[in-house]
Amino acid sequence: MTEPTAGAPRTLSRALTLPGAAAISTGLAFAAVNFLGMAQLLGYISGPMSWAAVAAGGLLILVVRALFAELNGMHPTAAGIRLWMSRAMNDRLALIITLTYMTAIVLVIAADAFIIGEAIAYALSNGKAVAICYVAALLALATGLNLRGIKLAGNAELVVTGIVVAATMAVGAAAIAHHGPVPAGPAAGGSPVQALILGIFFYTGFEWVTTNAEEVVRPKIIPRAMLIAVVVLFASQSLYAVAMGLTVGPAGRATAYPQLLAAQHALGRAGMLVMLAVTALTAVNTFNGGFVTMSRFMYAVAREGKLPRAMTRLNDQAVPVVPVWILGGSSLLLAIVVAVTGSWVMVVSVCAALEMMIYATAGYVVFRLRRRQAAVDRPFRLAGGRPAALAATVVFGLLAVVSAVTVGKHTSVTPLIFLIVVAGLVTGYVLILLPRLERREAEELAARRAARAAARTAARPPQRPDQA
Amino acid sequence: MSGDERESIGADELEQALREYVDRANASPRARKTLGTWTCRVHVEATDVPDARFTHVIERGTSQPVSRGLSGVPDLIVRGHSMDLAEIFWGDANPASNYMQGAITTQGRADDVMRLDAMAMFVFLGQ
Repeated sequence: MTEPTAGAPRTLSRALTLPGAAAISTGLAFAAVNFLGMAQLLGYISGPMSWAAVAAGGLLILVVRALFAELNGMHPTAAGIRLWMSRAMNDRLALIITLTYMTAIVLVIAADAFIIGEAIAYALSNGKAVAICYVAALLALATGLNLRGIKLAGNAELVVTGIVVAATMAVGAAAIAHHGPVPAGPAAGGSPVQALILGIFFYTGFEWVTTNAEEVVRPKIIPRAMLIAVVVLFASQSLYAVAMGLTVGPAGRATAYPQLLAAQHALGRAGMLVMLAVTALTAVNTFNGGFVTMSRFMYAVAREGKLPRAMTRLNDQAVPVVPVWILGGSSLLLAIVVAVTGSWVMVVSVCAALEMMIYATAGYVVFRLRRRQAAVDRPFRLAGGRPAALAATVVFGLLAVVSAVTVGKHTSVTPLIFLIVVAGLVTGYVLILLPRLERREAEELAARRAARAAARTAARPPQRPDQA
Repeated sequence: MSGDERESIGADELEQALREYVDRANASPRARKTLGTWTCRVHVEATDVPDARFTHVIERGTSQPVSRGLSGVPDLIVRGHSMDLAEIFWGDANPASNYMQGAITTQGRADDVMRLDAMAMFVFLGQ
C-alpha cells in the first residue's frame, strides 16, 4: 500500500468539522424505524426501566465504535468497509458480505417511508390505501431530488439533526412529566438478549460516518464524532423510550406510529403534529444519507468492475442514475410489501441481524489485521487487542443469529430465510456473473495498454543501426 | 503494491502524463457537459517522488493548465505512488479499482472524488 505523505495534514477548502461529523453520525442512526424499535423494546422491559436496555446497548456500541475507529484510522477512506474486508479476507467473500449488508440500507429507507406514510395517514385520518400513496409519493420525491443532485450538506444536516434530537427530547420530557397511570408492561417472556439487541439497534448506522473520513483534516474527528453520537443517541432514545412506556399501552405500541401517540398523550394534537414533523425530518437524514451513500458506493463498485457497467452511467448532474432508480424502486417495493403485510416487526429483525453481522465482521477484520498489517499506523487502537476483537466477533455473531430467528417476541425463521435468499442471490452473482465482468475489464485495460505502447513506439524516433 | 519495490516515475514524466490527461479531458464533450457545474482545485502528490506535486484546477468542467507545485487551498488531495498515478493518467489502470484497493488515497469531499473518477471514465471509456 502507498502511505500518505508524512507530515501534518493540510487544510481543505471544505473540511468536515467535529459538529458536522457528529450530526452525520447521529442523523444516520436516528431513523424513524427506531420508534418502532422502542415500542418493541417495551414488550420486553417495563417503561421506567427501558433506559437500562438503551444504556446496555450503548456500552456494546462503544466496542463497535472502537473497532471502526481503529479500522478508519488505518485506512481513512469512503471505501472503508470494502477496503478493510478485502485486506482481511478473500475478496469474493468480502464482496458478498458488503453487498448483502447493503440490503439493510434499502430496508431502512423502505421502513422509514412506510412509517412516515402511516404517520401522515394517522394524523390526517386517512386509510391504509392512502398511506401507501404517501409512501410512494415520499420515495418518488426522494428519488427525484437525488437524481437532480439535491441533497443536505454541511450546516443543513447539522440543523436537521439538531431539531430532531431537541424536539424528541422535549416531547419525551413533556410526556414523562404529564403521564397518567402507567400502561401495562410486558406480560411475560421478557428476554434480556432481545432487549439488548433492540438497545443496540437504536445506535446502528452511526458508524457510517466513517465514509466521510476523507473530508476531515484531523483523524481524531471521526472517532470523537462517533462518541458524541453515542451519547446523544443514548440521551434521546432512552428518554423517548421511557416516555413511550409511560404513556402508550400495548395496543398503541403495536401501531406503526407509537411516537405520535406518546406525543398526543402529553401535548395533544399539537404535540402529535410536532412528532409527525420530527418523524418526517428523521427520514430526510435517512433518505439523504442512504440514497447518497449507497448510490455512490454502487457506482464505485461498478467502476471497479464488480457490478454491471450500467451502474456507472451519470446524468448531467453527475448522479449515478441506475443505482438511484434501483434504490428508489426496491425501497418502494419493500415498503408496499411491509404496508400490505404489516410486517414491520420483521424489518426491525432483519436490519438488526444485518447490523450485528457487520459488527461481528468488523471484529473479525480487526482481529485479522492486527496480525496481517501489524506495522500499519493505528491512531486509535481497540483496548484489549486481538482477544477483545475476537470476543466482539463472537458476541455480535450470536446476536446476529438471535436477531435472525426472532420476530417480536416470537421465534421465527422468516428473517433468516430472507437473509439466506438475499445472500444466496448475491453469492450467485459474485461467483457466476462477476468473473465475466472482471474478464471484460481486464481485456479492456490490456487493450488500452497495448494501444498506448504502440503509440509510444510509433512516436519514438527510429534508431540508427549503430545504436541497435 | 509495496511502494518500496516498485519503479518510480520521475516528476517530469508524471507531469507530462497529467498534461496529456488534462488535454484529453478538455477534448471530451461528455466530460465538459456532465462536469459543467464542477469547480475543484486538486492537489496531486506522488508519495515516492518528493518534487512530483502538481495543482490541477477544474473550473466549471474545464481543466486549467496543470501547474508544478502545490498552490492554493485544495478541495481535493490525491496521493499515491508515482507509478499508480501515472498509470491512471495514461489510462492503464482503473482509478476506482486503485482507490478501492487503497493504492491511491484522497482527502476531500466524496462528490469531488466521484467527479474526478467520472472524468477518467469519460476520457478512457468514452461514456
